[in-house]
Amino acid sequence: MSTGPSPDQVPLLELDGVSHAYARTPALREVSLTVAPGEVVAVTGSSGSGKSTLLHVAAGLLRPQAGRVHLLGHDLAGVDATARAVLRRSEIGIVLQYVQLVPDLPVLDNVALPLTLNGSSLAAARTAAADALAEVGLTDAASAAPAELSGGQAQRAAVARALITSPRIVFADEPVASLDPVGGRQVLDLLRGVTARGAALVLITHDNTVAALADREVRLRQGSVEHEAVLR
Amino acid sequence: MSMAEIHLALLLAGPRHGYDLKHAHDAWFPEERPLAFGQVYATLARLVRDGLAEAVDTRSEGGPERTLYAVTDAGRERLLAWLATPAPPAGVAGEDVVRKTVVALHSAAAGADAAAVLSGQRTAHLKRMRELQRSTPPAPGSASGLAEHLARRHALLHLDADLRWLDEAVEALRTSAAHDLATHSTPPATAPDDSPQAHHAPTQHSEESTR
Amino acid sequence: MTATAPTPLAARPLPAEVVRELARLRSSADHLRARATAAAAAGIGVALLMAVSVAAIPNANDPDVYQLSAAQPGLAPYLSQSGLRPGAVMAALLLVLPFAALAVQALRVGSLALHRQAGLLALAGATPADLRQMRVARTRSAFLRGGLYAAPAYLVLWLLLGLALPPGTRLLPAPQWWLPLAWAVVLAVLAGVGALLGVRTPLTGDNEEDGVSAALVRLGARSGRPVRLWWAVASGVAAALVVSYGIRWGSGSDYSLPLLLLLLGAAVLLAATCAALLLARWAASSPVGRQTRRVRSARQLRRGDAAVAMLAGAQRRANPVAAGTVGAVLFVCGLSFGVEAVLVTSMFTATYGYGTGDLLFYIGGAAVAATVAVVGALVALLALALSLSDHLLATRRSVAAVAALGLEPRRLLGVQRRALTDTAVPAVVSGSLVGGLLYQWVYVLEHLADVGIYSAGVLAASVLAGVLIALACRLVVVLLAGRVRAAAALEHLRTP
Ligand SMILES: Nc1ncnc2c1ncn2[C@@H]1O[C@H](COP(=O)(O)OP(=O)(O)OP(=O)(O)O)[C@@H](O)[C@H]1O
Ligand SMILES: [Mg+2]
Repeated sequence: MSTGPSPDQVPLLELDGVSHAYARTPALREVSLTVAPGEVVAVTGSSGSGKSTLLHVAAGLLRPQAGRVHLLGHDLAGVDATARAVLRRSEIGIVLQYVQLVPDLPVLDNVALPLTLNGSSLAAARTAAADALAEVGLTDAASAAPAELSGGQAQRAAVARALITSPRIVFADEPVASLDPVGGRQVLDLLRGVTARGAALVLITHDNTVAALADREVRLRQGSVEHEAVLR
Repeated sequence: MSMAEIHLALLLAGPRHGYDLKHAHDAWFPEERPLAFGQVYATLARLVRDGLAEAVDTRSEGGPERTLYAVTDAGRERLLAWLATPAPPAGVAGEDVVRKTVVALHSAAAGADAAAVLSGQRTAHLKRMRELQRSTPPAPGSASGLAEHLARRHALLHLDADLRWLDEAVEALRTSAAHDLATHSTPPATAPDDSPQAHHAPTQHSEESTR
Repeated sequence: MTATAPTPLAARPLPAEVVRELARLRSSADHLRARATAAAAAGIGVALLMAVSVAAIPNANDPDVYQLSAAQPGLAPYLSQSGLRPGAVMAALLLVLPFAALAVQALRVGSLALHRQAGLLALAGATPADLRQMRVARTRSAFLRGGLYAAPAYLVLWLLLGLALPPGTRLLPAPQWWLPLAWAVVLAVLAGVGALLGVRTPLTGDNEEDGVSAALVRLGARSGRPVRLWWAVASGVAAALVVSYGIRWGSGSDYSLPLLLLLLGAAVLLAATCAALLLARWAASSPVGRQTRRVRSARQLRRGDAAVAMLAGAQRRANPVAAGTVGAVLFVCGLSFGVEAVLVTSMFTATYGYGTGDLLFYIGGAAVAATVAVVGALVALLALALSLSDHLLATRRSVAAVAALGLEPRRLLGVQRRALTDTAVPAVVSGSLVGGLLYQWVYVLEHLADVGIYSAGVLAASVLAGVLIALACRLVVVLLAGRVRAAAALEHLRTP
């Protein structure tokens, strides 16, 4: 089975023998994975198989206990908390499975956050955030508090925030699990749109129709890669 | 049509005559229409003609004369090749997926790897589902476009149902494999009822065996 | 892998505009925290101004130590006699203690939400330095706002405790021309302390590598670090105590009263710190069964007393640092209460030595001490209320879940009362016993008095203190009943 990127492409993400265990539970065992520019990779597996843990490790939110992670050319083992934060606000987009908006900030400011943290002016960041919200159909909710959004709306706001920096790689954990088919399709099209400019998308899902949108499927089972297949 | 390969798989267990084959087939696929005897003999004749099966014996134990058939090496190869090719993800014709999986489960003796069959099938299905989702939804007002779109959605969702069934099958395969392991690890010589090991058997095991 | 040069990941400091926007107070918890912190800072500021003003009362140019101050006529003897003045300065400085504890408690209001928010901001790309910058901005501005009230508050206090009192009993000197200067210094000190506390506020998401993930995934109790911090403080104070003790006896000087007072202050601080530690440990480690064992009868069980006891215990276990902080403040109040008990006992049993003037002097002293104790107790009450508010903010989801399971609002109030009482009563009673018995020991040695009667006085005072604080806990819960009910609102089941 030929998987992985073609040799002329430098991978955006490379996991090599990554293992991680929480207090009692081994969550990842010797996982290796490569993501090339312009690629959509679906990570699937049953509940508790380690998908979210894989995302946290790959995006630099969690240090694995063993193995190496190369993200956008950085060996994450040697990147400190500050540099990772800079990475998050400038070069990667993250959509988590559950709540991720700052409850005290209005939706617009939440979406603008990566830009404001990265030093752009409030006004410029808010203008960009308004555009991003329009893309996900949330213009009306701009001034609402996150608690006033439905689960699906909050997820769309998170997608808008993840895409606002034009990231080179996007990690999305069940981004459409709480959306209806039509809204889900819209969000997925937006997320997949990043590949047009050579960015990659790592899509975590348990929905086969969503997984079928990817170029490659990586299936986890009890923390290890059970099966990997090119769908292209 | 997969009838030839199913007959080959049915013959894997050992030489059989047509009457046995029919009943074995009906037991494998309880949800399908029972095989007609005529079809069994027609298929066997074709298999013999193609060198995939052979008649090994003819017996008449008091009753009518019966011919025993066995699978040839060529037949075995043909079966494995068929298993290695995923069933066409055909939307509504999901039975083929079921057939292939059931046959794979029964053909471990011939070297078939049911897990690999299932995983290959999953990939084939996902590829087809990807194609089905390639085209953009129709412009509003185009009746033919809408019909086409809806037909594709129908196919997509049926393939999704197949995939869920495949996931279940994988899971079942694993638990049964774990079960087999547990069964084989207990010494076969001791009677299961009064042996001391019976008390230490994993609960999953004992539940399975009472079912 | 072919090497492309990865983008350098340097962080710029946040623009002031962004810090201001992100540090803005938004939730009601933010406002409560800011207000309570400002109040505590104002208290610290006033206490410092009082200490400075008293210390700066000029002496007449005479070598006699007990020379009265001629420059500020009408002051009470504690202030006018240069030999007693350090005691008054010490009393003012002692007032800083409960307010400082209140500040620590105030900064903890909504700490769980703050912790979570730090994780969420970090997810969006805030660096540890950014998070620190926001926290420092918030704490410093609250401290500054409180500091601004310090000088006006001093003027009001001077009107009440100075000008309004008859000459010879005035407890505060008149404000001098340099008061604005002292105020500016106090403001600077408060700003510095505020910034320091902002940096020190225990929030993860900044220093641990996995802080972000941990803050997002799990929000369990984090009791380890603050307790370790307390131990460090306790050892520091103990070391200071030993050193100053050595200097005191090494010099053998008669003029070492200030040093003695310093020693005393340090001892109080150390006792408070140890009390906080022990109470926090106790709250954290109380086994689940302990609270319920007292509930035996079938009637009690039917009434749900076991559930109340269990929930109250869980609440204290979940927040041991708050229990320790509140407990330490109450312990200090208990200390002064016990000391007063000895003083009052001595007044009523003294058979020799006091002229009427002396009696007045001692009653006056006891009154001053009592005022300090009452201020401390009020502050402690405030700390209790804050700790309850914070707890309700942090756990409204589980409170709502318990309410949804059918625990009626009256019982919920019972849980809060029980949790507060279990924290406050042991702290006050032990403080009163420790303070009273220690002071009695010193006093009896010096005056060759009867031990029994003093011990009885201290015991009676401790019981009284326990009863009073238990009543105070009821009062706080009654006052905050609205908040408890609001926390039990079922809509909180939806909020994360
Ligand atoms: N913070 C944590 N502490 C302890 N164990 C954890 C933690 N997070 C996850 N786990 C455990 O690690 C394993 C993998 O969890 P993970 O969240 O990665 O699964 P998942 O594949 O994302 O599941 P789901 O599809 O339900 O989201 C599980 O067994 C889970 O119980
Ligand atoms: Mg998950």
